[in-house]
Amino acid sequence: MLTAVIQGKRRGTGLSGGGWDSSEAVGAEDILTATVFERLGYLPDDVFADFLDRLLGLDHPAGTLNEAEFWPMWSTGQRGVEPDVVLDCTERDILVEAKRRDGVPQQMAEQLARELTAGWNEGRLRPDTVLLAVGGHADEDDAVWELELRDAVDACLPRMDGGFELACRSWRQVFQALRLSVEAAQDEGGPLRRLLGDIAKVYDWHGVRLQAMRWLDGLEPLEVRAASFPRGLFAPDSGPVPPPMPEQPSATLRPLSRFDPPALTISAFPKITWSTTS
Amino acid sequence: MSTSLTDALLNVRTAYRLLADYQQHLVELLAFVRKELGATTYHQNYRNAVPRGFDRLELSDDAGRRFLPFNDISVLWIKPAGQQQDPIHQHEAGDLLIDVWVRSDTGNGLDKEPEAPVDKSASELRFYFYACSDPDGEDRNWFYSVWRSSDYPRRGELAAHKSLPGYKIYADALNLEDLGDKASARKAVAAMRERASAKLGQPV
Repeated sequence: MLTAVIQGKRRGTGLSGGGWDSSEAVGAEDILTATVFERLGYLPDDVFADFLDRLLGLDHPAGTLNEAEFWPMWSTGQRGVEPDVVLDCTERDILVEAKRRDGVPQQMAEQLARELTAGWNEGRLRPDTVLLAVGGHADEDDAVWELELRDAVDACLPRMDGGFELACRSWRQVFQALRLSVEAAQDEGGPLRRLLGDIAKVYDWHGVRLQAMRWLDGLEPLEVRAASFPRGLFAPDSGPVPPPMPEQPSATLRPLSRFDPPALTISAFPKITWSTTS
Repeated sequence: MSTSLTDALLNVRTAYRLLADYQQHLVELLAFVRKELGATTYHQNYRNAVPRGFDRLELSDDAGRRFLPFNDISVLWIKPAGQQQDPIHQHEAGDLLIDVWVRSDTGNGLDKEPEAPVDKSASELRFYFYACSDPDGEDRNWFYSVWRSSDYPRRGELAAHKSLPGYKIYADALNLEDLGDKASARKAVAAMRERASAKLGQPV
């Protein structure tokens, strides 16, 4: 269905009428969640476990996947809740609450607490549940925010039925963990790479970054000799007059033999996007 | 082929890769700053407009520069204060247009600024905050009616718009050397916001 949606073949999908911009399509945010977490069910057990290890780094790993349940309807006793995904794993349950945007604070402690409470109420979650909050964080590097959210969820729980371990991750971090697991599986050109390619497409559709932010501190310093713009380009009207340039032919005749080689060392093109063939 | 030309062409290939990498960094940095300021993307102005064709292009000394459209680009953002339906044309008191002029080489002589060797010039983001302080109720396009008909004030100065009494402009700048990582960038932008807010008399 993902390909149909992305190609505009949306009749019957609930997304008809929207353009390529996913924000125009009602319910499109759920496509992101479904696309990513449905595909986790297709991973071999060892790759799934490796993915969870890279993403969560749990002291007590969740194990391998028994079943993934999407948008179950639970009740706290006072009101209904609908968590996005529940991953029933061999060792632990993972309750996933996904928000669409990275970099925007959308996760709410009250909602997370209600989902935990309802899951324990209905016997659908084991003690020591992993609460995975995907997206909806102002800053993926802000560990303090994660601690504050955990404390806020704690404060909202009426009683501690079972305890939980909170993990706040960005969509980008989910993708990168999966990419590294697939690469470690040495599945060059194989089904896992294609699965990752599908997820990359839906990320692109939703405007979710795959790469970490490139900060200027990461630029490689190069030894470049000072060079001038082509003569005749700018006419300074104030300040020091630049030293005269060596005699040059007119604009219609600048032979390459007169080209001054500045001293540069090789640098690589920035990685534009994740590729199924890279 | 001469060794010199071989080296020169090798360096051109390298320079293209360097520029692509640098520009990628800048695009991402601009997005970070835009989010920090709470603004939204609006428009852009290419001072180096790519030529439409090659006919008689060889007669121009400007052709090489014009194929560097990112160089000296102005990226324009808006930050409406109100909830108007059309913030691009319907301005309210407190509305902002933010022009970020990417000055990767302040000594390149553009805009009548003095030329300087590259090791004596700087790499900056120049910020111009256009504030609507006293709207007159007229529909007015931010880009064509306000931005294009204005002059830049000097850095650190506040100036009235030369033809629109209800608008004022504050100029600031950040050196790219101060924007190397998230913490530095956040700190520099926050300090600039304080300066701009104080000068404009409204929160930026």
